[in-house]
Amino acid sequence: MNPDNAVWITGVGTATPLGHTYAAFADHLLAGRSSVERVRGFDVSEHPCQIASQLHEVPCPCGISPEEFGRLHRLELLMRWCCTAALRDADWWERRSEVRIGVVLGVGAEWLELWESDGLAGGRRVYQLEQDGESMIARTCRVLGLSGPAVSVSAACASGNVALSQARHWLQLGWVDVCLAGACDMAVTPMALAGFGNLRALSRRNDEPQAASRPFDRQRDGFVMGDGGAVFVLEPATQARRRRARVYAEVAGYGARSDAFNMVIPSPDPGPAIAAVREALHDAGCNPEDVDYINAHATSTPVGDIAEARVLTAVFGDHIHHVPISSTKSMTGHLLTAAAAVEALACLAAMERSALPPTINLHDPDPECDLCHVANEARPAKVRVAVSNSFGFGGSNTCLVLKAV
Amino acid sequence: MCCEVAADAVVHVSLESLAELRRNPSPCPSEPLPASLLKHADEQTVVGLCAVYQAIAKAGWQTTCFGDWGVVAAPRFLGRPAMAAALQRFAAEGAWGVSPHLIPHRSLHSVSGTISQALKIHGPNFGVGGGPGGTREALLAATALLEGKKLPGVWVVLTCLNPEAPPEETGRMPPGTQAVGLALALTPIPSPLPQHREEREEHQRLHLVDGVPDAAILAYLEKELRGCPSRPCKGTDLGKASFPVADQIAAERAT
Repeated sequence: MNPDNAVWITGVGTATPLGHTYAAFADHLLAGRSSVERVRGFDVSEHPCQIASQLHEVPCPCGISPEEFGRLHRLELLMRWCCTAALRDADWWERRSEVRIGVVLGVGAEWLELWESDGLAGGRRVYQLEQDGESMIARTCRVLGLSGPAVSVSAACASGNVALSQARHWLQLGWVDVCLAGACDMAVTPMALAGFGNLRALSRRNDEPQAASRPFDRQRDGFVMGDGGAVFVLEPATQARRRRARVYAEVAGYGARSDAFNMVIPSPDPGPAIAAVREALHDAGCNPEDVDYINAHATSTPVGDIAEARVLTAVFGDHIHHVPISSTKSMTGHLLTAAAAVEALACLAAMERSALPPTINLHDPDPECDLCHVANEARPAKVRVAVSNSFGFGGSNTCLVLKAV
Repeated sequence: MCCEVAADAVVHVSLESLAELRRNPSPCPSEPLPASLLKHADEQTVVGLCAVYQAIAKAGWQTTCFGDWGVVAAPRFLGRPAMAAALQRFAAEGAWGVSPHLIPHRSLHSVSGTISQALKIHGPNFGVGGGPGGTREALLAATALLEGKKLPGVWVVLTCLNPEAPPEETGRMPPGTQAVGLALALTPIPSPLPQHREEREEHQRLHLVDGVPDAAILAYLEKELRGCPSRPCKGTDLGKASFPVADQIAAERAT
C-alpha cells in the first residue's frame, strides 16, 4: 500500500444492544456482557427460536425533533443516528457542506423490512407503489445535506466489509473527500425470526438466552439474531493528518471471494475463503505473523464454525495457535447485514483499549475448532493489526484488515 | 477512469413464460445447472441470469472462464409479490407459515449470489440499490470494484418487473407483467478477453466523472428497463452479434 493512498477511520457512530456509543459498546464488549434475551415486542410463542439481541430504542440525534424522528422506520432511525454520530465524532458535522461526503451502507432487506412492518401494523404499503419513491439512504443523504454519491450494498452478513472496501476505493479514486461507510440492520422482526428459524439456522436454547450464542463451543446449536449498526467516517490519511483528526485505525486490506456453491450452505471447498483472507493480508502488506487479533465470523452454527477454523488454519499454519481469536457474536448475537461493521468496531475497541474481547459461553471448545481462543474473559494485549472475517449467504467470503495508526 | 461495455443483453419475458426459463435459462449451457438452483429463485433472479447467458452467447464467450470476475446486481423492489403472499400466509398460519426460502432468495444479494453460483464466479458478488436509483448505484459500485480490485471484468445485472404494478394478495402479478433483465459486461480498457470486434470508439466507452455515470448511459439503461419492447430471449444469432448498449449510448450522446 502506498502510504500516501492510505485511508483512515476518523469517526464512529453506532447503536447496538450493547450501547449507543462506541465507548459504551467497548465497555460492555470487554466486560463479556451478553445482550441476548427473550424477544420482546411481538409474540414468539410459536417461533422455533424465541430469543434475540434487540435494539429497543435508537437515540434521537440533535437537530431532529423527536416527533419527526419517531415517524421514521426503525431501520431509518438507526441509519440516521449512526451517520450523524459518526460525522460529529469525526468533527465533520458542522462542515459537512464544504466537502463531498459519500455514503456506502450495507442494507440487505430495506424494502422487505418496510413492507413487513407496515403490513403487520395493518398497512398496505406492499401494494402501494407510490410510497416507495425514495430509498432510505437517498433520504438520509438529502436530509443530512450530503453531496457525494450514495450506494446501498448487500453481501448478506459480509455487507459491512463490502461497504468499507467500496468507500476505500472511492476515496483512493478521488470520487469523494470523505465517506461514511458501515451497515445497519433491524432484522429481529416476526417474519425474519420465523424465516431463519424455519431454515433451522437459529439456536433453540430458548430457556437460556444469554448462553445461546456460543461460537466454537461443542454445544452450539445455531445463531442468535441481533439488531444494530455501525457507521464509520473514512478519509484520506493525508487529509486526516493535516486536520489533526482523531484516528481510530487504517483500513489497510480487504479480500473478497465467492464460494459459487450454494446460497445458504458454506462450500466444503475452503479455497475461496482462504483466498479472501490471503488477499486481504496481501493488500495490507501483512504476513500471518503480523496479526495480533482475529475477530472471527463464527456465528455459532455447527457447520460454519468448523469451516472457518479450517480456513484460518490453512492461512496461518502453525501460527494459528498463537493468534488470539474470538467471536463477539457470542455477546451481540448475529447482526446479519450489520455484523461485519459492528465487528470492525470490536477490532477498534481491541486496538484502543489494548484488550481482546472474548468469546463467551466457550466452556467446551470443539476439538475441530482448535484455535487460540480468548475464552470467556477479555485479555490484555497490544493490538496493532486486526483481522475481521465476515461470510454471508450468497457465498460471499470477505476479510478486512485494520491497522493501528 | 473509464471502462468498456464489452458485452450486453436485454431480456424481456412474460411471467407466464418464466417457468421454462427457470428450468433452462441458458441458450447453450456448457454444463447443466443443478436442478434446484432456480427452483425457489425470484423472477428477477431468473431473468437476470438469463440476460447474462444471452450476453455471453452474443459475445461468443461460451468457452470463457469468468472465475475471477465480479458480479454486481441491482434488482428493483425484489420480492414484492413474494412478500405480499408471505404476509397473507403469516397472518393465516403464523410463524410456521414463513418459507425458509423467503430470506435467501428475496434479499438484495440474492440475484448476484445466484449468478455467481451459476457461472462459477469466485470473484466478489454483491447486491446494490434495491429501489429507485439502483442503476446509478450499480454502475458506481461496479466501476469502483473493477478499478479497486483490478478484476478482469464485472457483470452488472439490472432487473425489474415491468410494469411495476401492485401484486394480488396471493402474490400473483397482473397478466402481461414482464420480468426484465439487462446484463452488462464491464471490462477495463484494454479488455483482457478475446474480442470479436474492434475496440470501441472513445465515445462508446462507459465514463464516470467523480464516480457518477454520465446521463446518456443512465437514460439508455432506464429506457431499456422501462420501455420494454417485447423481445424473444432465445435464438440469438451468434454470428451477427451486436452491442446495442454501446451503440445506443453513443446515440443518446449524439442527441
